[in-house]
Amino acid sequence: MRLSKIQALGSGCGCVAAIFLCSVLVARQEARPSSPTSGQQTGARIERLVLIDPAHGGSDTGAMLNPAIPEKDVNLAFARRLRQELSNHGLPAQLLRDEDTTLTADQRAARVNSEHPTLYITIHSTSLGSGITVINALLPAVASTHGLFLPWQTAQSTWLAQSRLVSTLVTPTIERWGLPARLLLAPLRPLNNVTAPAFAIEIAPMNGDILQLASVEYQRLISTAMANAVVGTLGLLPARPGPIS
Amino acid sequence: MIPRQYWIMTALLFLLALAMAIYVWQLRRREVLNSPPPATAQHVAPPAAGPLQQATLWVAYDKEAALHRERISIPLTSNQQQRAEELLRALMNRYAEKNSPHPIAAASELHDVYLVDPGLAVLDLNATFVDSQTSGVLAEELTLASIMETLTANIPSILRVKILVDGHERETLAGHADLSGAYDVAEVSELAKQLTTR
Repeated sequence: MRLSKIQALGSGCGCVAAIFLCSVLVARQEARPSSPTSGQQTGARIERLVLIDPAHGGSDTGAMLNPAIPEKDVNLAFARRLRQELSNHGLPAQLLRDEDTTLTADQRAARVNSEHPTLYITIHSTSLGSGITVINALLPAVASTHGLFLPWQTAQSTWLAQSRLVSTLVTPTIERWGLPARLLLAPLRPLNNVTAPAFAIEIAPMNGDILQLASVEYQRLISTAMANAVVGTLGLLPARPGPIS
Repeated sequence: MIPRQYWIMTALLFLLALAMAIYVWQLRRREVLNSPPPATAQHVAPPAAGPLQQATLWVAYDKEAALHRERISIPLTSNQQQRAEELLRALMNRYAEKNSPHPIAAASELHDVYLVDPGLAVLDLNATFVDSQTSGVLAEELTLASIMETLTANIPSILRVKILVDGHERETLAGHADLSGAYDVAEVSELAKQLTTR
């Protein structure tokens, strides 16, 4: 009788362990990015990778900058140009979305965290303000003492010192290109959940005319300034700790 | 062969159900006819209770993308919960003015403020206020920092602030600023400093 109880308990524990293992494997598979979009993907290890996230997309339009211009389209246009500019500097860059697809904040963070980028940049655009606002997560910075697991809502805390260092160096470089730039803290997801050096930028027109955000010249100026700023600071960050691409 | 009394009982029950349905329908009709017309949603003015006192409002200015401190005199009670409500209503009135520096919809409203120990203030705003927000990281930050700095400048015992919309949790204010957790006012003060030193 006692033996059968122990056997039942053992098989129960086994089942629970098997279910846990399966769910971990499934979660890892789901977290893997579905469509890496980069110029350099196969074979060789990519030591440095910039992951660019055009915010919003699909059913999430973001702000309607005017009745015809949703924020999601402007963000994607800037992101594509920034990827091109970084590639011109020989720096591998990928987009988190390269088409009009809906991604939740959690899906974005999961993809970023599985990709282990050297730097994560999320792009927003707005009608308010002027030039570029460089944004870090509004979280308390903490030392890396969490061991294997990090609280999801504040996962960026451990990387906040690196993120702030990069943002502090990027901002004056942008200004040297004649663009107004300011640093800001913001409660913004998925920035809070990202386990890599990260910042967001919010791009506003310089002349108050929202159509400037859609102009090729302005997009080129912003992406050139951003690419130069990022290339100049990326050497301060450690190479990717993650898997071989 | 079904006994006769079963038929009678079934018929009686059916008639009873029919009568109850008609009665409920009548009740509903009467309720609809007697109910007052829906009230026009209007911004609620601060209550004129308590002595006039000096208070500090942190007001968002969209054009400058900055916060400015303004001093006003409003009736304030000694009860901290009511005080918080009066301050926030004064701030919303400021934003509802004709030439507002940070416009909000006229029907924007603060339902309630709950002060929960230790130092947590839970604000319940209406959906109109949130839905009429300008969407954007900077725009939404101005709103949040303005609300929280106004509260903490006048009620220093508030240490954290949680925002609800119509009594429910909401993911973001207008697509950007995260509302899923409670804000630490010390962290928001850091942000507010960045918004006041341009």
